[in-house]
Amino acid sequence: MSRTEPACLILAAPFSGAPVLAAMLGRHPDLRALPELNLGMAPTVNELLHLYDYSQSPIADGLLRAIASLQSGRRDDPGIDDARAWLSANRDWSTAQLLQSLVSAAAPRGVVVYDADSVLRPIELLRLVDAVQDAPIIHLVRHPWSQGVVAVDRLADHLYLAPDFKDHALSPPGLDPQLAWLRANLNIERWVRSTRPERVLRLSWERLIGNPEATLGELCIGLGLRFDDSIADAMVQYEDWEFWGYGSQAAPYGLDAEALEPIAEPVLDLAFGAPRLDGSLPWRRDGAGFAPEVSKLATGFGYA
Amino acid sequence: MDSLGLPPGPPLREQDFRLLAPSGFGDGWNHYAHSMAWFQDRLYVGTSRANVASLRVNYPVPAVSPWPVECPDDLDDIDRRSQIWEYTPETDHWEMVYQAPFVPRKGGGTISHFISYRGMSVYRGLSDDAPCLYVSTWSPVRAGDAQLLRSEDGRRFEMVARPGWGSAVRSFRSLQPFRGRVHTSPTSSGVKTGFISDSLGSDASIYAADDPQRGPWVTVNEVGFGNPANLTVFEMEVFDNRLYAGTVNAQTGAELWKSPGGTPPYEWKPVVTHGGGRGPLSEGVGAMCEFRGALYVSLGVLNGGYHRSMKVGPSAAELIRVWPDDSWELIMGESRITPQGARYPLSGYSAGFDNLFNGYVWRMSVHEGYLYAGTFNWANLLPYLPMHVWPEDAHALVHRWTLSYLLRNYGGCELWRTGDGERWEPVSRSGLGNKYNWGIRNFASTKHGLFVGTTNPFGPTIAVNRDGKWQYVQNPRGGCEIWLGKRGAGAAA
Repeated sequence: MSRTEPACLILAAPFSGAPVLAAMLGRHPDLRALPELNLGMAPTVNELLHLYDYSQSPIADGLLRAIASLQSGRRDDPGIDDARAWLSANRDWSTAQLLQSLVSAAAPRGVVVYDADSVLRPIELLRLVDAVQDAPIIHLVRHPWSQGVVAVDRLADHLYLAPDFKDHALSPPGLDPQLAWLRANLNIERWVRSTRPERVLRLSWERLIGNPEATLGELCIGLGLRFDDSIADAMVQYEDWEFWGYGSQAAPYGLDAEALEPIAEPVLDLAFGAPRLDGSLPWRRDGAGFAPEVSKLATGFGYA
Repeated sequence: MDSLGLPPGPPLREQDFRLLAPSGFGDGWNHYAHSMAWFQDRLYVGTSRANVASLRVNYPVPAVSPWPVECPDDLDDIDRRSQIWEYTPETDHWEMVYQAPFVPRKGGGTISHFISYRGMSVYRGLSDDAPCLYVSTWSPVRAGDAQLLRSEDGRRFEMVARPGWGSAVRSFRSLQPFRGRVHTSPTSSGVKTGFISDSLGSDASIYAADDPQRGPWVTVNEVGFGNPANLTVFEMEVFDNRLYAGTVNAQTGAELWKSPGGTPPYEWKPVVTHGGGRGPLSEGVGAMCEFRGALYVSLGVLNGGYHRSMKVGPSAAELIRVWPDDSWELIMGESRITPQGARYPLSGYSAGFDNLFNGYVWRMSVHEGYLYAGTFNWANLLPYLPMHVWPEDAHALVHRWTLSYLLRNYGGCELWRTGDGERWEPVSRSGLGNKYNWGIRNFASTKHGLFVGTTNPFGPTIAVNRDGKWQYVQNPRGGCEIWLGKRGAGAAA
């Protein structure tokens, strides 16, 4: 593995636990996992900055937090300001060059990149996959029921909801995360796994959480990393990851919502207690269940 | 093809396009390059005149103030004689080869017989010695009927037999050859008191003739395919040796039908209904184009994305892909669960290529292995719209971005391309550098490159706000434009 490419890339549908896996890997002494960088959004830093200027979403926060930490070891507002200035000074870079710079700054530790947003758009997904060069890719999957319950819990009170998470056949369009689950996972299967089968490892969230030590051990060995009991102990303490939770006021986000706020017990029970593919979905007012395509793909992932 | 299925050779970039004809061929009232055809090694372009002035007699009149272009009180004070222009690539020469005649106006005076040529097609009928250029026309309510024009040489145009529809039909659009006949349908209607609609015909029939020079024309479908809510057959295309016809249906959404042809009336089969599960927000089929074994079909709302008389929209366009087995996929648009299953945008782009202002995908064309799609975009109308009555969040968004930013960067129509049908990238998001180009209405793929015809109604004058006061000034970039895109013509990226 060269020093210009990350140690691995984690791809997952939104609300599928990607930041938790990143946090676990980030606790490995030879790795540094970064917040969600959104590097697939643009080919150049200049275009990325342009998007930052006009987006209503905090899409810059993850990258700014990562730069602040890697460049100066800071997590406070002045560190974020410095990161923003550094980014602006390097606006002529490609986003792939930017990633290489982050990898170099983290060396000798390997960088873990995770992304649960570019997976919705093939162009962005492929741009990101190209940027990580030959790095191994972990496709993290979660039962669509669990993903849906967590997503609804996180999104239901949002004033603005991205169209990606709605069923537009409803009038008015209503929240239904199964469409984003299907879209993201099929995009990964189709555009990444089918063309790079040797590089892609599919990992289920349920297996990871059901037996974290063993699963992380297999993962580390597969990534060429050392692994022992002390490392395992550190990795399962994922909430101690340096980026877990909110950042400073200047860049508070940059992580999937489940890494920002704990999920309430009743939601956890509903999401992970007895997920299933049949019957009505709790978030559908019309009593509808999963679409056949969702059930089929989930079954293919080993879910019932 | 590369490993991901892209065609060999680079696609066209914005810098590969050269402006061939600016400012409405020198007349800012030539608003639309409304039709285009490649005929006898020359390019032919039919114009529409004074479109934005005509909108003032539409019902209901758009809530626009001030009117973007200075218009006389009497529409007929504008010379609306639509024109046909011929371009010879070898000499880089344009020539107007036809102009509509004046005819007596009902109620007195004279009026242009045609104000637009909405469709062109090269077709050889039974009585034609060689393929001829056929042109569909648009006639004002107080002029005679819309007519079919025919030319053997691109210079002399004659009126020939037209379908026997009623006088309420004011224009027709597609001229679609298929299995020995050419097919068309009425696409606007009006009565003596004024327009009813510029995009709804009064007769949802498809007419066909094997000898358009002499007729007769016969209907080949049941009116509206048996559904009274199908108000118009708006667009036709041939794919997989079938004739596809798309409707306008403001109640339940557009329908797409196909037929193997044969002896009229044809047998028809529905392929897509209910606007592909989106309902009235996909009330009409706008454009169709075959690409790599599938038919790409754009869907949207009439009148640029806001069908005022039917209270549908505002909404941005979608793009679907239909396969010969009648299965279909959503390429660009809004995720949903339909009776045919879950659909999400394979391109990753939501409706309008993530842009509400893209009301239509107006035309598509395949050129050198790539599919190109041109949009209609109403962003440049923003300065004249009553934004103060918009929802608070929409108003806040425009305020945040600022009008000047929006218009500078996204004020014109958009041109997109794809090499595989799923990965789409913008060629231009600002009207090929002219924000007054609000639509791409025509393409012609030729050995000389890809010709692009725009719609640009912001001429000959434009209302501008200076020091808080509106005034009309000459607009040198107003009027339709013709561009030519040629691979590698621009500077290296």
